[in-house]
Amino acid sequence: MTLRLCIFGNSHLAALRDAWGRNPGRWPGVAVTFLAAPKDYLLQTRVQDGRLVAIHPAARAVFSRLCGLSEVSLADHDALVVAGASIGVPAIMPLYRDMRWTGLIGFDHPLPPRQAQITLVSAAAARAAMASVLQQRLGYVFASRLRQFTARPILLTAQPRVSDIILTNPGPATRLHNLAVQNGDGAAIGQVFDQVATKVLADLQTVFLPQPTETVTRGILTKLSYMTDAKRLNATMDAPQPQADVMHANSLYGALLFDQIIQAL
Amino acid sequence: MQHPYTALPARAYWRSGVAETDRDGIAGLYVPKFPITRSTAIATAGSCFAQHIGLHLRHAGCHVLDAEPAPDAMPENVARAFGYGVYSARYGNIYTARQLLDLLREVTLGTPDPRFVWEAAGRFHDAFRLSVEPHGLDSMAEVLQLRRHHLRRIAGLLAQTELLIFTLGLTETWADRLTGRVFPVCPGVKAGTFDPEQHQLLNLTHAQNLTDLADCLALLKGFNPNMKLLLTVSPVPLTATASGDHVLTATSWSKSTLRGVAGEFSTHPDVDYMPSYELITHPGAQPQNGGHWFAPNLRSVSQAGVARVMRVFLSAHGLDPQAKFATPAKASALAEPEDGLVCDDILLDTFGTDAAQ
Repeated sequence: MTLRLCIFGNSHLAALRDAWGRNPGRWPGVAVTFLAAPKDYLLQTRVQDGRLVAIHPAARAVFSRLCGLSEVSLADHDALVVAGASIGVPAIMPLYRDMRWTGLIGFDHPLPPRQAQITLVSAAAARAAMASVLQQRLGYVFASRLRQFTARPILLTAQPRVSDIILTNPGPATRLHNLAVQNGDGAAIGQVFDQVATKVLADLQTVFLPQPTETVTRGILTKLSYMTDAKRLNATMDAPQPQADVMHANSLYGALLFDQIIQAL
Repeated sequence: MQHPYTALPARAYWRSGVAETDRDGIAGLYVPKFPITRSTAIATAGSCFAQHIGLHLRHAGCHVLDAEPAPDAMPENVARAFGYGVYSARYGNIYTARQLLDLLREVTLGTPDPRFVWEAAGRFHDAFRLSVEPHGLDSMAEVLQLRRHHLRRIAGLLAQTELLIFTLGLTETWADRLTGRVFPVCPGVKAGTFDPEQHQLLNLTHAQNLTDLADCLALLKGFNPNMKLLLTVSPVPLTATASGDHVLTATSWSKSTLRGVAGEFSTHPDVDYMPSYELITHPGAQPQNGGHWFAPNLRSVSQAGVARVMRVFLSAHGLDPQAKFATPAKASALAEPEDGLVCDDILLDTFGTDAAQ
């Protein structure tokens, strides 16, 4: 009996799709439909007669160009998967800019010059803030839309943590990641993110699949070996991510996600 | 013939001061003893009605201190739920002068007492500010760590404060028999366990309130010798009374005691009284076109009532109540007085519903 998966996502879906293409036969009895688009095109859809369809011509064109289809029947799949879609550690890192919560050790560390005043908050307040942030993100909003129209299992895979190459090549966009690692807070942040994401999505009867542990380092980073040669989301999956990209994972990572998904089902 | 009543201003006579005056403003009702300017460093505390004061002062461009501001990245709904931006620090509602006094003493010591960490369903609560952590905390150690942090922030706040605006709310309070410390909420209502051997009801008298306020002022001066105190009395009736009296007469007793205390204590040169209580409750201060300043539950003050109080207050200080200064986003949730206030004692209403059935 074939397990029919429909995997939705943004640019991070490329890792899964690349893995699927590179590993024929690794997941026997599984059939996959991909529907992906960058940015928030996933939200430019509606469910109509059990089918998820693009509302706007632009979205329809993007889905067709990238995946060869612009609508899918929810009922024709045994499970629905949302890949990444901004549910990841990077989404909550802005909270680290001016707040620390109990349980972190970084609160007592000397602050870099010109850093904003740091506020100590309770772990409960931090979790509530994280939950609120995640509830605004594409993955949560899209999963909640799906949940309104189907009782099928919905899973959401974590967007990968940023590459650990930032430890040797720090940049302004990942300054807070570097600071958290330097303060020794990475493990605690990664752990609380997984807890919060699990709970927030459970409230939608959606299963959150945390980033595979073997890919994680320093709690909030992804090992470089799972990021090298990551592909961009395009029709042919032949374009690499720009060299400076630290956000997207490769097919090795995608393969682990597939293992996770199938095990969860 | 000359006597003391021949040369009094219009505000001294009922007819010219109330019956035949513009009752919206009631000229001369509030004559500030000392000025408040936009640069005056103000801290606010008190019962839940006091939450309006800080918000409106910010709206008017005043310098309202906030020793524990919400982190910028914290979503507004979360900040509000966790007691950020409500008062000048996250102490929650302070209903009695005794509660303020206890807090000031604790700030002076800087050490929280672990006996006042309450457990409920595996969560741990700071008995003196239940409202700022609605889900409780993960451990006793966390409660104590955050309270130590809170006490340090209050100490810093008070050192900067030039004017503390304190709203007296209640005379009834529940106290720990052993230490005498009073709670904002009766143990057992939201957390903790009520034990008649351990907890006792106090209905603080006029004399006790006066003494408490005097002790508060002495401690406040220890943080900043130039600090002044502005008292108000909350017009909001009791949600419930444990005194054995009817809640209406208990409210009268409590509020009249507090009003008397505020009047007497404001004869101190560094203490003033702002008549928000009269502006809302007094028959002579009701709306010109009839009605009253309360919401349909006859307890919450209507938005129009709050606006009226603050208009009188700000105008008396030459601050334009219509000015629209930038309001910190985290505080803006108070725009609707009925729904926006964080009141611990409203929890008691739940039990009243049961009793009425």
